[in-house]
Amino acid sequence: MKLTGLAGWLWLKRIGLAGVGVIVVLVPQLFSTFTASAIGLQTLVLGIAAASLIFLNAVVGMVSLAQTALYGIAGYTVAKLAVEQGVDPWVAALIAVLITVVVALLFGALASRSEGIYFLMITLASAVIAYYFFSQVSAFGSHEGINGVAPPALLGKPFVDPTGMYYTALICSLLLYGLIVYVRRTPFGYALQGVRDEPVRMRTLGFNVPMLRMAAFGFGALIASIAGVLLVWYNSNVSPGAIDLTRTIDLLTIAVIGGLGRIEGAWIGALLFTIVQTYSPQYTDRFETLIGLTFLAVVLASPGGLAGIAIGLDRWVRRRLGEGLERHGPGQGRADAG
Amino acid sequence: MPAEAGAAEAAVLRIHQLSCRFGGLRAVDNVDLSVARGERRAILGPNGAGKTTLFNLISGDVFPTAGRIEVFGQDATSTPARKRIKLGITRTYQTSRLFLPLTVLENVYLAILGVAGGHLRPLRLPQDRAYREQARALAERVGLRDRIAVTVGSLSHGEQRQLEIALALAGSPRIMMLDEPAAGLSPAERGALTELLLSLDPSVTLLVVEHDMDVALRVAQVVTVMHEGRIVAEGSTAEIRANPLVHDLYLGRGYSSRSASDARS
Amino acid sequence: MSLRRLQAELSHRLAGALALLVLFFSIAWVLIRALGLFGGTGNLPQFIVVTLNGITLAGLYFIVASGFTLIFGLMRVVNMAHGSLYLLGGYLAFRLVQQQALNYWLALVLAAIAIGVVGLLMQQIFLRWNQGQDLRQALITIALSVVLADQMIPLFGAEAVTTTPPSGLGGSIGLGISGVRYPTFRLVVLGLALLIGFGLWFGIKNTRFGMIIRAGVDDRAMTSALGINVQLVFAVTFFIGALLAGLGGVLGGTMIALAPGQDASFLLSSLVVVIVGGMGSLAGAVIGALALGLVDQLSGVYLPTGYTNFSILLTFALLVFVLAVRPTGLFGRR
Repeated sequence: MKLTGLAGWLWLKRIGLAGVGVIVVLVPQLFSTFTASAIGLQTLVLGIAAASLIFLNAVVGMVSLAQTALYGIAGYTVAKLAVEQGVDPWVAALIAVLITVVVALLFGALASRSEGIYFLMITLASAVIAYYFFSQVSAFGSHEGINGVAPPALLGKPFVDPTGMYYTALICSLLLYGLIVYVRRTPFGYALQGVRDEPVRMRTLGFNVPMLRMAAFGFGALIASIAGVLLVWYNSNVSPGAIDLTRTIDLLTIAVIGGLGRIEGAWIGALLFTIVQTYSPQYTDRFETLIGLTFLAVVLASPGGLAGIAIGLDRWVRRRLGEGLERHGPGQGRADAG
Repeated sequence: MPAEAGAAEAAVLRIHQLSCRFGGLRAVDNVDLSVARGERRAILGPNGAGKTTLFNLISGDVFPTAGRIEVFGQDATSTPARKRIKLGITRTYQTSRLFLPLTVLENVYLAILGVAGGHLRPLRLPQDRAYREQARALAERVGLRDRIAVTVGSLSHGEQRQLEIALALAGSPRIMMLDEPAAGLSPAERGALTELLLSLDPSVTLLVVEHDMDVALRVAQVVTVMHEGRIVAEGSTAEIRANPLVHDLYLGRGYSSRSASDARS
Repeated sequence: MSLRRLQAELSHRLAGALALLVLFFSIAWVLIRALGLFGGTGNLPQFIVVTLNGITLAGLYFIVASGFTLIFGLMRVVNMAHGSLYLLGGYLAFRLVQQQALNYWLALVLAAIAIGVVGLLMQQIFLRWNQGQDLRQALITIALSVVLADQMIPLFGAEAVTTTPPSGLGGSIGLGISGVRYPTFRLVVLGLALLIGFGLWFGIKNTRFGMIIRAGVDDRAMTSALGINVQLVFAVTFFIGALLAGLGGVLGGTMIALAPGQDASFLLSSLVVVIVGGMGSLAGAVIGALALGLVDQLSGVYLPTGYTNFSILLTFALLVFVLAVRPTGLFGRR
């Protein structure tokens, strides 16, 4: 009977996941324009940005706070090219991604010689400097930023009808998630995990550890830059406010709430963050305090984040059901028979 | 070319006046050492004698403050650690340095990948399967056949030590350095370890730091004794056994420390 | 010496030489523009004022960053709330001086001690039991900084405010060169920075507590092996480190201004100072603060016309340059 319990749980999980999948796919049809745009679309885009942070932490053990700066570079590039040079949005996006990755590789060549908390400090300092840079230089619109960025015609106008944009973001999310999962299982991915666990050993095994770190940082930048492009298309503008310290910490919050160790956590954290951000103004003016306290609670109580809690819960239920069979199996069967 | 090969035949590893200081501490002090091809050498000495530092210098984990290291007749003093494995030098660590969240197979696979190169390649290719087969064979060779799919973090201490050796065996090493391979092993595991070391390809040069005399003296033909960063005695196992200085300095203590670790395990 | 060794040596030297060259060129550039050499129109008084601005700003940076580097050096805690403590200290003194009409120096002491206590509470409640988990501690302090920053807005407003300097120090004094007058209070800040720097140096060099801190920075296992009450040492260190942030906030609130965003700005300056100077090194903090303060002020004036708003890039260049030549900072060791 308990076996059916376990099988039932597995089925329940499968049905639940399938249900979530169906809802995610049908968001533009099921929800209002506002919800689909402000919650659905924003979750996907922020999720991609957070995924770049989580990838670096979970796979390579590098906590980078420069991801907002990187998506800012991509965002500014795409906005400047599209608005001032009249470049086709798709081409602008491609160039933006390339430039961001190149910048990240150059920066990574220097920063990746530092490890752990040093790396975090260096990336944070660089992120804040990037913010000051964009808010001071008039070529990038100073505090105003760059307005009137139109997404490709194919995607429509996100605020009028988010459907096209939503599916683009969904496809990007799925592709990038798949890419990360795939890369983890390649020689490159294994080498990165080795660097995460034992950099000293990796060196004597013949790996070029700084080079691997640099390449990983570039890969993270690739993910972040796609988020940056989508973000600019979604907001139709880019401004220093999109990459300031608050946003950097917001992104870190999303990653921590979702779970710094699991890629899936990026979108879970982004969903929770977006919901709180959208609906909390009805109840409180102090949205950041709420986020900060949630962040604090997660770090103190459950370093694995929501993804960690979900996995722990699943394991707990399975053990309860599975163990129940082993320990009380026959007795249980008799009771049921009787 | 033939002359060089001849020199390599004579000494695969030659260390000349090697010193390494950490602040005021002379961890390795003016060490000269010459190791022949296929030689099995034990390096003995009390704790803090500089044995591990010597290994670190040879593997490139630490760079010397003075002196010279030659591998197969080539100067390797300032060769970065990651390039030394291409010269054929592999090592194990005193406290295991393993990839704990990965499986046994993945650990050995990484070691093979390090020598084979191409680790910046973000694609799965057919040769990965061959690497995995090699990894499986190596894991079996060190006695981890049944543990291949287990994450290393959940292995016992003894199994982790076995895996350490498997990592050092990857990529057909010509000089293997084992840093206390028997530390913390049970007597049965020590026996298996000794057998494994004796079964190695005779052309492979072996340097072993070991406190366990049974293991060290059964495996080694030549013994170097270090004390306070210097080499104080060198000779065949029989000579070292008979050397009164070595007895005073080390063997007595070595035996007592072994029985202490026996009592622990 | 083998060829490869020679190459390594050369590339290392080359980076150092390049750094010196850039430094030399920058100084030459500034001097040429300042003194009007080679036919340009110089402006010596401006040069003196800008340089003094840089040095006094460096004094303020040093006060704040020395607290940051002290905590980091001993405990490996990156206190991301350091900027928030700075701002809170500034606001507290502002309230005491402007609304309670308290004596400035009394307000300064009270605010600094209050911030020290806030820091101590932070350490005791949140960090103490996470010793050694540096990432987790950094995340905790980030969360705290978010809450602090957000709570300060309703408490102290979003407008920029400035604390009135103590009586007699609000004006300016003549320097005796080309009739240049300079704000007295900025010089007072510089004097205090020197005093604090000397006090810290003396304390670390000559007291038992300082010896423990030095030992702890060099080898953390040793401190516990010496049988020292590490928890007490950590608590005192955190208190002093936070106190210095608060003190800096009071002075900065008088010398510059207090506004939301200043917390991020002073967290950045602390980060840059310790990354450039070397983490945990007091001498490094002096050099880092000077470099940052001077680059900050000089670049705003002496960059070629039209490029002055790129001055923040020079700060970044400074960071990148030091990292390229010495990844552990100028005085760092690892």
